[in-house]
Amino acid sequence: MNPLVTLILSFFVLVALRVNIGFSLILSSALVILLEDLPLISVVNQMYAGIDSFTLLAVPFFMLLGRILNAGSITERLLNVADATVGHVRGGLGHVNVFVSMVFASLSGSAAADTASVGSILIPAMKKAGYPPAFAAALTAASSTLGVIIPPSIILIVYGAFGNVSIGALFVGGVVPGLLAGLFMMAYTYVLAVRHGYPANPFPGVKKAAKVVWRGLPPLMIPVIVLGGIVGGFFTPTEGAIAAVLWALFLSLVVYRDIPLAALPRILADGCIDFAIPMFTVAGAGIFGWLIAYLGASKIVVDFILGVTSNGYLIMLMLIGFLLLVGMVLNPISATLIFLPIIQALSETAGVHPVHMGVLSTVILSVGLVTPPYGICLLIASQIAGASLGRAMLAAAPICLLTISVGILSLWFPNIILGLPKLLVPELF
Amino acid sequence: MLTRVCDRVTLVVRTLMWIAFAGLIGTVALQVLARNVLMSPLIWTSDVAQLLFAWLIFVGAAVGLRTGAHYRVDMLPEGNRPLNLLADAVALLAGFAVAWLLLYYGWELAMVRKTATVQSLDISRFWMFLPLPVSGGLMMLYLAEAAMRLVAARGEAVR
Amino acid sequence: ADYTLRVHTLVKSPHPYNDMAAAFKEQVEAESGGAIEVEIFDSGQLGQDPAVIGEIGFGTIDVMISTTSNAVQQIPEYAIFTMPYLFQDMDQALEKVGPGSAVEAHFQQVYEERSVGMKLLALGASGTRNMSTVSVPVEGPGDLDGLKMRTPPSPMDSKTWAAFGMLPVTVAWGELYAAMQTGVADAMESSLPGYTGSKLYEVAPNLALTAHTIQVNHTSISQRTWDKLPEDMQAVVLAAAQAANSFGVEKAKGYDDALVETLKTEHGVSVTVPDKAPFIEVVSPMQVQLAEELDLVEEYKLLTE
Ligand code: NA
Ligand code: NA
Repeated sequence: MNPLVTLILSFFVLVALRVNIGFSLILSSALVILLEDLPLISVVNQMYAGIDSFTLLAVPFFMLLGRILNAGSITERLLNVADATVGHVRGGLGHVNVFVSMVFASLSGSAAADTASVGSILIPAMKKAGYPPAFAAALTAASSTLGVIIPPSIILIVYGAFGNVSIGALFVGGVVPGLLAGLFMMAYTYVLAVRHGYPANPFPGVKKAAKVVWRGLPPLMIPVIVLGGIVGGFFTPTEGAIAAVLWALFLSLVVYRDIPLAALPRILADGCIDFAIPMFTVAGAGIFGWLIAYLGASKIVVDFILGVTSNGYLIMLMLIGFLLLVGMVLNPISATLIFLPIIQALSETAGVHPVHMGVLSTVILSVGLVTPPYGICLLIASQIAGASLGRAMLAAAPICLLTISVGILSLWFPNIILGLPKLLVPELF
Repeated sequence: MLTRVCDRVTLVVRTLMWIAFAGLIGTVALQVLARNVLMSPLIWTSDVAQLLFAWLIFVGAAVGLRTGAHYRVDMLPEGNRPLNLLADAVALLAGFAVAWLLLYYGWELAMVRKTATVQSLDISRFWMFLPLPVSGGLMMLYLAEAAMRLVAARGEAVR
Repeated sequence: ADYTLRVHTLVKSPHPYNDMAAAFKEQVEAESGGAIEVEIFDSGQLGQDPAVIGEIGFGTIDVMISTTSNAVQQIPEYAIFTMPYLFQDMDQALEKVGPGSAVEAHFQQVYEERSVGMKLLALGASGTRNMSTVSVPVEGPGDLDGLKMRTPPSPMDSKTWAAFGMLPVTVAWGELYAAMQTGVADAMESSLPGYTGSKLYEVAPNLALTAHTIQVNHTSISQRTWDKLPEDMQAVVLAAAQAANSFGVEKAKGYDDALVETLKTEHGVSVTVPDKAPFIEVVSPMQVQLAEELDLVEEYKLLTE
């Protein structure tokens, strides 16, 4: 059998047998290495090479940030802001759900953390208000993936670090498509709410609303610190993440005093596991991706697609389809790492700007966090909602299409992604 | 017995982990401070950060094995008990294979890199690669515990 | 073919390393009468240098053509080539380190002592390294004072630039663009193809042709692969590597001159050509001491005597 086929096939078999993704990447690679009579020590060498990057250091800090936001009262404050601003529109809780995820997205880089924290509060409330559990789960999961698109984003960091694209520009590029996808989701919620008669929350009055928003402002400084610091000229993404962590810690420990100092060791230790798991998968993707390159796969895929068409739009549509498939079984970080050479080779041929491509591929891969079988956000949300995964999937399908449509629209209107970077980092264009 | 050993080990490892994570935050924060405020940049901060990062990833991944934190795709039908037991056994075997790769070849790699140096710290690169075999060893321990549980569960099912 | 050689380079074309790889491929395939096939993996497809050196030791990758300073993790003695103003120009550098030189023999021995599992085929010169800055045009050493200088995490680099009153900041090459853009660093040094290929002229548009180092490159082969080849094939490979090595020097000269022109006319880079003497004045008194501190006395003597 062709070693590439063996590699991919054995990976799928292991995943189907419930072996975790990281181990599956490592073992399928080890199998091919044995069959090809290569030394097994390459497995560990390439695993280490996979995580040997200073830029990846931003990941632990953004993950920790998510944990700090949930441990104290910051998430709750943000929920209140969302409720005071969009809760009184028809389908109120649905809008709050999307809106708070957009805000949360601009704070942390972790979608799963958002699903769990926002979902555990809003899903029960939505069920009580008469929303079907499956829809509540679907909307929570889908909107939490906005965190992957709206900066700071771990996927964009990985794309920039390994693809040699300015991370600042990628961050700026993720803002508009993320907001757009969120607006689409709110519009969709509104249509459903009118059709099925979902209620709106009462408006608390301008004065009270303003007070709630005011109380939410300090945590909202986080995206200003991170984005402003990176784009405006004070630190690298890794250092920006540290600044955000220190600010959130300062708020929770000193200002709000809702995280006791004694809880810090536990938060840090749990925070380690939070990033160790995805980074271990990245190590697995290190050897898997290396074998893919070593066996010459990117040339095969690229030649195949270019053999079918030379039309830039068609190439990109095929690439989007390919990424959707890939995103279904791999987490976005591993997928980005493994297929970066293919993504970049194809987008270069199609004449798509590197910043555009980085954001576009992140938008598409984010959908994989909702679609089965590896739809970690939908798994968490449907568990909280007590909804069957099948129904939640059906309810999530149209919402996923909205996100995908933003990506596809950007092919014809590149300024959806590139508009803001052109304005803020013009020297790149 | 084995569970008690695992509890103890986990407690120690988690303590070391949070200290190291705090150290990582401190190191990078110091780097920003030294460059922007003290105006005397340090050359060792990025290497220390990388060292702690590697240790936390590989040791953390081993601890995550015990808490079931690794990403898994669930496609098997729930009702079929023998099938699920088989899958659990396969997953355990797969785990042992990975742990062995990390332990054996990770150690070999650390020994190969022993002659290389981290220039800014003037230490051997051995220390950068040591987390690989340490992780493999920890995984072995936790997998042995999981294997005992699986055998016990199967015993229950027979009874 | 009886043998397949996988060749690694880290760089995108146009770059002398890729020209060398192509020349190596052509000569080996022709002279071996089809017994050896050469596959080129450029642009770092097979990874970054530290991991690739590991793979070469294991025998999964066969040949690499790269910059010596990227190998200092495993071969710390290569740090000597980042010491400024060791050579006057590329020709002199090639004469000192090229095939048959005492320097080459020395590093072949270092490879063995460090048991990296590689065999050195040739050392060559592949262009000058120059200073570029975000806002200050550099006319002399005085202009460097107080600038934040990007360096790799290497004591040689940080100590050298500190001597000019600069603040050395360690930034990974992959983060360099962002670092220059955001003001994390405001000066950097690089080869001209590196500066052009990574579009660093966009963020550091002042180029000073300081030519403070001649970039020394190494062509190395896996010891395991080498031992597998019959003697006549070993001769073919060695001859091809040496021929590619001299070819690389010629190519590098052409690139450097042409790139300076392109940078000026197409990318609006402002180019200054500072007098080297005042720079050398700062560096030369500390060279001996640096070599001592970094345990590079033997290498320093070989290169300067
Ligand atoms: Na949500
Ligand atoms: Na985000």
